Amino acid sequence: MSAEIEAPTTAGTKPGRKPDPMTPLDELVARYADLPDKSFRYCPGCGLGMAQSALMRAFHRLQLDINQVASAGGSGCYSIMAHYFQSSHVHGSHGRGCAVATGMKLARPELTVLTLQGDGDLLAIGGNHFIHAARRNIDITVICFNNFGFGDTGGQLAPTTPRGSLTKTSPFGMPEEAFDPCKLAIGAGASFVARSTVAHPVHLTKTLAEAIAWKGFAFVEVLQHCHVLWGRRNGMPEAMDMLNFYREKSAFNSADIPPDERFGSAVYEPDGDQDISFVLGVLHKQERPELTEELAKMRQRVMAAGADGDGA
Amino acid sequence: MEVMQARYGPNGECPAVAISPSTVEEAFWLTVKAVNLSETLRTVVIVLSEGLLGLQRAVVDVPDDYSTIELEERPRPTMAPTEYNGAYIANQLTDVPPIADFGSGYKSIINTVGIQPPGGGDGSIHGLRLDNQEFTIRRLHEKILSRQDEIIMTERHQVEDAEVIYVAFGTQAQSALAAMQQARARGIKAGVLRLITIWPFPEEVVRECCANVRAVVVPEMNLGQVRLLVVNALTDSEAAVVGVNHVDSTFIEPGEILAKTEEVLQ
Repeated sequence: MSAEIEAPTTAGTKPGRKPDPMTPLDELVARYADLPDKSFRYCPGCGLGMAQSALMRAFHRLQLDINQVASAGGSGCYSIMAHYFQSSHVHGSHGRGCAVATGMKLARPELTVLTLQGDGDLLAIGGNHFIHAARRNIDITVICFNNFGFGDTGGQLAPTTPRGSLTKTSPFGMPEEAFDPCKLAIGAGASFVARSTVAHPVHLTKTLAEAIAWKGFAFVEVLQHCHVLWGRRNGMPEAMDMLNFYREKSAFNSADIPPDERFGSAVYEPDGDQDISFVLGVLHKQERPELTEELAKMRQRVMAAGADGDGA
Repeated sequence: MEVMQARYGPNGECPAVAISPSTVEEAFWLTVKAVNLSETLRTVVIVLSEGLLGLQRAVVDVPDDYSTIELEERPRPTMAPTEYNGAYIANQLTDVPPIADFGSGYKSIINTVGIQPPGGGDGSIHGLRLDNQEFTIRRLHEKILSRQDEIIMTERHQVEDAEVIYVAFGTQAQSALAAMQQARARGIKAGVLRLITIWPFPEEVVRECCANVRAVVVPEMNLGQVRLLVVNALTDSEAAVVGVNHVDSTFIEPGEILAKTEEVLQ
């Protein structure tokens, strides 16, 4: 629990000021959110609302100007979240969040650029954009809401669905191995990789703030329950069942956990084999040259060499 | 050349602007034109090139200083940020709504998928409604169609007295021009209508030039996609519309166009 209540020491926070993590939600909503007139489009109990609140608190910790934040995403349940912020957003085609965000950051390096994406969106159809954005180490923050499946389209299996678990398109159990998104991100060259869950809101807030403040490609996997489509088929029909599940199966990253045990391909048969656990926290951090800065340097060099120079 | 895919490729009913260069140098300038059109119209503009052009090497005349190239700007909002209701608000079907730069204090949600943004009628509509969808899709068409005069580019070569006209685009326009000269040398009054803009299709121009000729020959690198559009434009004309078609990635020779001309005029 100590990791959860630890005061944040995130770069970007104004010196001498530690924003209270318990700032009233109304105040945060007024500063960052643009809520709908009628009802939210999240299902009752959905983890996305909790994730959004953590994201607002992360903005607050960093004292970000919401007008200088821009986000991109593809398609999924999470898509509507960006509409509920005051920041600008590109609702791109399915899976293209990282590609759009790369363009946004290249065009406007001064903006804080995020992608809000789902696991199916980011890791299936958008997998290629994801690994190349990570490889380039462009200064964007990719937030992956992992709910173990394609929620928006009705609960089909995704690359993150634990092997053995039941979904609409795997009624006899998911036959494939699942990705560990964090392991994939590290393999692709992401310079900051972390994992948290909506059942650990303070930890999630701190992790998101650290990722957004990171100079370079930052990836955060947010385990966000879908009790409606995944939980219900796998013995956890209520939102609280899944929140408890995340709390039981999670451990905070520490030196005691050997590096190869921080990642894994989840197995979850509702009445059979289960091998599922989540190591939360920052799993990888390594400073590398950042793309927009490198391009700025290159531009300077080429312009200095003159129109006829090759800049070499 | 996938003429139809350029127009009908996207899902949803959405219009297209496509322009087709016929030389390497023109590819440069038409790309500038395409960028300007896409900015002012807020739409995707396709530079519809082809393998035969892409594989060419040529000496071209482009500016030493690219900053001399004139670039046009997209419409940006002039109202206060609190009154800006999104990047799709329009009052007329022909409007190109203003779009704010990210980070400029205005909130813009850019949609590329099926969730229709607010954008209909009085500009005060907020929410996802079917009448927005109807309005927005009709507006996407009208903003292009109502500006056809600015978008459509064609080139006419000796069409005034022509009895046969070659309607050509892309690299095949070069063959058509050579065929025209060879035909004239043989006493056949040939002309060329070069289509630079393919979409929206210059139907009026085709009708104006070709309605009273004996024959129209359409050389193209497919099995007759533009020929269909020409036939459609000339339904009230007695001109015979024939194609010369290659699908083997080789140039259509001027001689082939000439042979087809002589065949159709007999």
